[in-house]
Amino acid sequence: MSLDLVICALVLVAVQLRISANLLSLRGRVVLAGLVFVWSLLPYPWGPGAWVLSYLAGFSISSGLLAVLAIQHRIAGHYWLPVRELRTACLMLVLMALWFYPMSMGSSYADPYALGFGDFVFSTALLLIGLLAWVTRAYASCLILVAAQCAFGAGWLTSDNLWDYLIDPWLVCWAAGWLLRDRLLRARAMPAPQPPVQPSEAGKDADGATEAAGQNSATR
Amino acid sequence: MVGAALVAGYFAATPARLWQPAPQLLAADPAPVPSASQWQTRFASDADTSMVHAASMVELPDGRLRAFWFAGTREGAADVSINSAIFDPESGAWSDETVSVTREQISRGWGRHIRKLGNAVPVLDDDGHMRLFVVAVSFGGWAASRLVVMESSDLGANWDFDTALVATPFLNISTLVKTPPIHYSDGSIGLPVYHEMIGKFGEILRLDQDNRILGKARIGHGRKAIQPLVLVDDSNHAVSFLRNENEPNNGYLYQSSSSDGGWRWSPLEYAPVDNPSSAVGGVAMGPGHWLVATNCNREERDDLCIRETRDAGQHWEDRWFFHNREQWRGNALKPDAFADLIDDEFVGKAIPEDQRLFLERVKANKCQPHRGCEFQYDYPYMVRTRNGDLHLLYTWNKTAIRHAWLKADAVEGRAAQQQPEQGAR
Repeated sequence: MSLDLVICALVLVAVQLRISANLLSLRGRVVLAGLVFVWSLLPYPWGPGAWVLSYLAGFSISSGLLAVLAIQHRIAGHYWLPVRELRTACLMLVLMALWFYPMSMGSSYADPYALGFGDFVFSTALLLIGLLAWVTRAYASCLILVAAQCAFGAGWLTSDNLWDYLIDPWLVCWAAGWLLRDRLLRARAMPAPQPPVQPSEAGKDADGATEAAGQNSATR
Repeated sequence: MVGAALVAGYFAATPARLWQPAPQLLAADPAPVPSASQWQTRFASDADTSMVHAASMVELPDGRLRAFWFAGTREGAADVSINSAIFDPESGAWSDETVSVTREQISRGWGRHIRKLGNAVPVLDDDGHMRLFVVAVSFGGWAASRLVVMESSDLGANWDFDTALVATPFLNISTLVKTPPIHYSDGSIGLPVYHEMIGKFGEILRLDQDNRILGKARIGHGRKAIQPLVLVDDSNHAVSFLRNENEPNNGYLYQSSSSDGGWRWSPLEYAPVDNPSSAVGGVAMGPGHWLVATNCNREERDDLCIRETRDAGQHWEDRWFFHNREQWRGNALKPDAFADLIDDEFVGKAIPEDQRLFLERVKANKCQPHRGCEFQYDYPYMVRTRNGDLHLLYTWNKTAIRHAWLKADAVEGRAAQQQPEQGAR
């Protein structure tokens, strides 16, 4: 059993827990999550993990760790990642993907994906990004980065490219979706400009209109 | 603690090989083009299936050749397999065609769904292990191709799945092979690959003997050129010819060169070699002395020739024509007239055991009710063996794999006794 398949199973469990969040009791969701996890690990053609990997290719170490965090969130009810850090990480990820994927798929002679097979400049850039995350107290991003680098050093995924340990298109899609949802929730949470109202109605607009409420919703 | 982890991450992300000097290209020893003998032509495939395409080959330690091609009811069909046969220069005959690798076999070994198979390129390592790089598609068309590696410890008789190569960051799709690998001084190989999905461009994947990708170099970009043929001049210099997909200006091959061992390639430029956007094969005979097998016109795949340059592409000469059906181009030939012309190509040693079956398959593949019949000679794959012989395989009317063989001058006494064959004009 490869780590690619385990990560895929974790992602599928995270998706299942998100879908069933309002449909089943906590006990039912946990039991179902266990079944989905085991089912996903079954070899081709019986398990859905092998089929997902056939079509979507592999998931990154980052996706796997975020899936673990999402599973923990759905089961335990709290989220380890600070929302502000997650927002920054998602923004950086999406912006980087806008540069990375077109270049890697042939829009220029330069090929950033080639750096992932081993390059001093790339390793140094990642070290600097890690230091920046450390300085800004974005410890989770820092640890995910180090975990992906160490997994690359150990060769745990099928890919020989460091980029594939760090990011994948589905992580970028999730980040873009998270940012969109975050934006919508924050917009919804902000008090809309109101026409002059009667003094007796002014107190009705205050419910949940705080940044914290928007952040909490966005992490769900 | 976090700082220590970051430093550990840095070293984990920096492979040890980066601290070592980069390997150099290995070039074949210069050799003259055989001039005392005639090309012999044969069929390598047996028409066991309706369609065959995209042949490749590798020289075995004993001097025989093992060829591969994909075969099935049609290109992209689920029943397409990688078939193989062996050519023995001693007897001058091809073995019976056998099925080497199937879609189901790769699917079982990899544990992934495989919808269809495509091009396959072999390489024989110094330790006797043979590797076969196979295009496999899980969904969609060729643009969604992935590369899988099969390994054989008995020179290609039996194959086991080894690994799948991850060569692109987007779903790992759109990587194909067509042309022969090149070799580096450290035992690694450079596998020329190309992409067909968002961009159409070439690349070289450097692989070690365990099929780990050590690096990648891009040849071209955008939607211009595919199927790079890489010819090595010396330890630093190599040239690449690419099939031109830059419509409507695709009547010439593209060309690029590298002077640093294949790590960086010059911007694409047109080579003064006509080509109708079709695949090329070729070999380097020495620095700047190249033979390129290709369709030698800008429109159709109804001819096939080898062009030669001795001055690194400044001047080209049509050295040999194997087919030239230009005068029938656009004539919408009727099946009977087409069959008569095809029949002329069954000459010399190129007479199949079941000539009638070949003819039926050619008509089925190349004749259409409203457009008539067309000739097609394409996908050349060329090698120079250790004794200096030249071998060319190509797809003959989508129906058979045809083999052309030019013996080295060392056996000129025997070659002089042979009669010229009509297949090589």
